[in-house]
Amino acid sequence: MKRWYECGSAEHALSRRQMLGTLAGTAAVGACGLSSLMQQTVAAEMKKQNRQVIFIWLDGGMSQFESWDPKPDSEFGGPFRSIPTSVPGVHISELMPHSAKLMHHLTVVRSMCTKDPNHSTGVARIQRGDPANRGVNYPYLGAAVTKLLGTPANGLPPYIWIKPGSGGFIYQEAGFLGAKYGALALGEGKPPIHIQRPDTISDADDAARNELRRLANARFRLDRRESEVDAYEQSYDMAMQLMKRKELFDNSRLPAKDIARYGTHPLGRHLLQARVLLEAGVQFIKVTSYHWDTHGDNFNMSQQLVPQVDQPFAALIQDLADRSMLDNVLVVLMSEFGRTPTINSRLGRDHWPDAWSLALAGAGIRRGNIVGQTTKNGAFVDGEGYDVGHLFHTIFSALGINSKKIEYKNNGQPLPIARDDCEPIKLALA
Amino acid sequence: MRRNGVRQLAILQTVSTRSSFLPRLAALLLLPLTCAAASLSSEIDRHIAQKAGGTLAPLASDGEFLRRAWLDFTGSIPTPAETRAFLADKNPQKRAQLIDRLLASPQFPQRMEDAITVMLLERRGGGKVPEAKWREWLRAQFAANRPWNALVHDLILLEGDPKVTPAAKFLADAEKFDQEKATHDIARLFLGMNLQCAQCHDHPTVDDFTQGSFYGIYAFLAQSSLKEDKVAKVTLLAEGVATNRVEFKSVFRKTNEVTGPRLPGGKEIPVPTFPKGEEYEVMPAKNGNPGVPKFRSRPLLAKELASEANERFAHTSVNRFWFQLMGRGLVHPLDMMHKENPPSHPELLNQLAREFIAHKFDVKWLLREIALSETYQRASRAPKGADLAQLKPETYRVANLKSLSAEQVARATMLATGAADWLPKTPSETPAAAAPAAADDTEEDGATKSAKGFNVKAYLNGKLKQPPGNVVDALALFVATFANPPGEPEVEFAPSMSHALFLMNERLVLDWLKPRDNNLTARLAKLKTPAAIADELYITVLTRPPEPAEIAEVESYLAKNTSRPETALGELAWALLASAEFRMIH
Repeated sequence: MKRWYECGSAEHALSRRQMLGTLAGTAAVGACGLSSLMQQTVAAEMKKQNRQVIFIWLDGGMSQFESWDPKPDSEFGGPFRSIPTSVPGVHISELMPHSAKLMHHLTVVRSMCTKDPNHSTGVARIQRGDPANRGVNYPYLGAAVTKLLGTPANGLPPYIWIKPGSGGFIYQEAGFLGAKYGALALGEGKPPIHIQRPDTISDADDAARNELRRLANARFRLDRRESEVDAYEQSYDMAMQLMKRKELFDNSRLPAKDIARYGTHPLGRHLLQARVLLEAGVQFIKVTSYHWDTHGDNFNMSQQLVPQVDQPFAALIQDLADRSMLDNVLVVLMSEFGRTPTINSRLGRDHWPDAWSLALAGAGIRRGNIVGQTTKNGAFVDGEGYDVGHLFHTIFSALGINSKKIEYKNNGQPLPIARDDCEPIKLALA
Repeated sequence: MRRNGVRQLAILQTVSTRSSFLPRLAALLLLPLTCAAASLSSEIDRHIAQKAGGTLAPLASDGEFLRRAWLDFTGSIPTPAETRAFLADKNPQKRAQLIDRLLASPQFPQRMEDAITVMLLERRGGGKVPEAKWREWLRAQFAANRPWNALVHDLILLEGDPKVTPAAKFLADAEKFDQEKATHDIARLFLGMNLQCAQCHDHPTVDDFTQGSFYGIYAFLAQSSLKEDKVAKVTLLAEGVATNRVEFKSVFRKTNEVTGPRLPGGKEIPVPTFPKGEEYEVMPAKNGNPGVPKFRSRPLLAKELASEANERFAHTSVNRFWFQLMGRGLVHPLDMMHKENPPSHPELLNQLAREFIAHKFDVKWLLREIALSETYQRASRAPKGADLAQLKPETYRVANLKSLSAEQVARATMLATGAADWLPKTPSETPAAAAPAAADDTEEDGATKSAKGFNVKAYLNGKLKQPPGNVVDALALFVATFANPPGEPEVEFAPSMSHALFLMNERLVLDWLKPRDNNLTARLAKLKTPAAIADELYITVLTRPPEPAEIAEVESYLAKNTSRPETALGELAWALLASAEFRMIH
C-alpha cells in the first residue's frame, strides 16, 4: 500500500485518502479480494428506497432536430414543425405529440456535447460513462447500477436487457466488476429457453424430483465444512424462483389494451414488457432499439421511426405516473450522439456529438424542465455543454448515490464511478 | 539438508505410523537407504501432517477414491462394471494399480487436453487455428508425456505460421500479436504473478509486483510482431532489431524508467548493438522474408522462462498441478505468488519443485506421486469430533471439494445415463434424421451460422429445435452452459442459475433419462427389488453403493409411484445427477 503515498498528483489526492479510509487495517489479500465497506453501506441505504431504472437506448442516434430540439424555419431545420407541450413555452417536434402532452413529467437536456462520432466505440464509451483510460474495462451503466445499489432481495435478475436479436447472459456488460453483474438479455423479449419446463413434467412431479435432490444434498452436506453445497442449492432456489415468475416474460399475457397504447412494433412491445418487469421489481432494465442511423432519407425515416418511440415512451411515462412509480423509477431515453445540422446529398443527417438532446424523468429528476439550449440553427451548444461524465454523475445522483465520493475498488485500485473531472447536471435534478 | 538428523527422524515417524511393526524394523535397519529413497508421496504426507494442527481425515472409501481418480485422470466417471470390479478387488495394491492404469489410458491425454486448454486459453476462442487442431496437438504432447518445460518453451518460441501452427493458439492466434496480453498471460500462468496493476504502476499492495517486472517480461516480446512473407506466402511471428531498452512510466510518477529483457528475480539481459547493416543473421527481403536479427529476445524468453534455473517457473508449475488434484494451491490464489502471500507449506512447495526439476519436468510422474499420497486419497468428510470451522482448506486435513469442469459434467452425465453408449461420437457419424436442421438465424448482432453441425447459440435462443445428436455437439452445449465466460480462469466453483435451469429443463438430458437399449433407466426397469435398483443407480451415478437410508428412500418413492414406474426411475436418477455429490469431485 505504501506506494500510493508516492503519487504526488492532485488528481489522486482524493483517491488516496479514500483508500486509506476504507482499507486501513485491511491485510493485503488476493488480486480481487478487496471489497468496499462503503459500498455496502450505500447498498443498504438504497435498498430501502427501491430505486429502479429504465434505460431506453436508440442505437444509431436519433435526430435531435426531429425530436426534442426542433429548429423550424432555420437553415438546418428540415420540414417538420414544432408543437407546444404541456409546459408553457416549451416546444418539441410535431413527430412527438404524445410526449408533448407529458412534458410536465420530463427533463429534456438540449446541451449534450460529447466527443466520439463513431458507433463502434461510441456505444460502449457512452454506456460506460466515457471513463478515463485506467487500464480496466469499465462496466456498462446497468452493471454499474446493479453493483452500486446492491441486488434486491426479490429473487429477480437485477439487470435485464430487452433487445432485438439473440439473448443470453451478457457478461461483457459487467467489465471489471465480474461476470455476475452482467445482463440477462431477453432476445426478442423472450426469456432463456430453459426457464420453460417441458410439458411432460407436472408441478407435482417437479416438486417431487427436487425434493429427492434436496434430500440427497442434505445427506452429502453432513460433516462437510464447505459452503459449495449451499451455493449449489441456492442456484437451484434462484432458478425455481425465476421459473415461478415466468409469466413475467410471457408476451402473450400482455393486456391487449396496453399493446394498442404502446404499439405493436418491437420497441412498443419491449417497453410494455419493461413496464411489467418494473412493476415486478426488476432493478435495471435496458431496452434497445436498432436502426436509428439515418444517413440517408433522414426525414422519411424520422417520420416513421420517431413515432415508434414517442408513443410507447409516453405510454410508459403515463403508466408510471398513474401507478405512483415515477418517484422511484428513473427513466433515461438517449442515443450515442445526435445528428448533423447539415443535410447530406442523400437527404440524410450524419453523426453529430457536438450538440444533441436526451430525456430524463422520474426518480430524482426535476419535472417540466428544459436544460441548456443550442444556437439558433441548432449546430452547437449555446452556453455550457454536458459530456457523458456529467450525465453519469446526474444519473447516480438521481438514484441517491454520491458519485463524487463513492468509488469502485478493483484489485485494490480505487476507481471513480463517474469521471472525476465532471459534476452532476444540477439543473436536471429535483 | 537432506541428511539432517531431525528430518530423518521425522520421516521415520511418518513411516512408522503407516506400517506394521516388521517393515518398521526393516526401515530402522536400513535407515540411510530408506531416507535417501523416501518417495515424494510420503514426503507430501509428512509435510502435511507436520502442519495439520489437528486430526487428519482417514482415507476415502474405495468408491470415493475411485470416482476421484477417474475424474481427475480421465475426465469422466467409471462404468458400473469398473466400479463393481474395483470394490470387489481384494488386492491391497489396487489403488496404486488403478492410478497407473488410468495414467496409461488413452483418456489421460484427453483429460489433460481439457484441463490445460481451459488453463491456458481460458475459453477465449477465436483466431485462425481451430480449437480442435490445438487440442489434437496438446493431446499428443501429453500422450508422449512431453516434459512440461519443453511444452511451455514451444508455446513461447512459436516458430511457424501462427495461422496454421497449433501451439500458436496460446500466444498469437489472432489478427494481431498483443504484446501486453502475452506478457500478462505468461506472468500469470507460468510465473504466478498477476501483473494487471503493474502494467501502469507498481502494485499498490504487493511489493514483488513492480511495474519493472511487467516491462522486464514485455521487453522480451517488444520486438515480436506478425509479419507476412508475401513470397513464401506465410505469416510469421517475426522479430525486429532491438536497439534500446524498453521505456515505461508510472501513472503516479512522471519520470521515465527503462529496462531490458529481464525475468522477475533474474538478471537483465544486455541488448547488444551492432554496426548499421550488420544487425541481421538473415537480411529481410522486400515483401518476402521478414529477416532474422542476430539478437533475438523471444527465444531467450522461451529458454530462460522454462528453465531449471527459474525457480518461479518451477514453483508455479508444481503449484498448478498440485491445485489440479488438491483443489487448492499451496500458494493461493495461483497467480499471487509473492512475499506477502506465502505458501501454506513452503518446504513442500520447494521439494515438489526440486524433484519436478530432477525428474525433468515429468508431469505424469508428478501427478502420480501426488495421487499416491494419503493426502490425495483422504476422505472429504470431517474426521470424527473435528471442529468444522477449524478445517481450513489450506491444511488439507480433509480432501477439498473440487467442482467438475464443464467437460467433466458432460462426460460424466453421458456416462451415467448411458448416452455415452449409443450417441454417435462425432457430427459426421450422426444419422441424417438426427442431424440438426439448418438454423433460421437472421440476427443483426453477429451470430454466425456454422456451415455444418450444431449452432449452440441458435439452440440456446430457441431458434434451432433439434437438440445435439452426438457427443461433440452435446459437449459444446454443456460447455456453453457450464463454462465460465471467456477470459475468466476456472479455479473456483461458480454455480449459476443457468446450470440449474439447464439440468432441470433441457430436453437432451431428460431424453437421456428415458429407457432405451441398455441405458441406465432401461437397466433399472428390469430389476425386481428396490435394493437392486438402488444399488445399480448409486453405483452407476455416484460410484458407490447406497446407504440403507438411500435404499429405503428409493423403495418408498417407487411405492408412491407404482402407476408410473419408468418416470419415477428417471426422477430418482435425475435427482442424483442434479445433486451436489455428482457436481463435485469429493
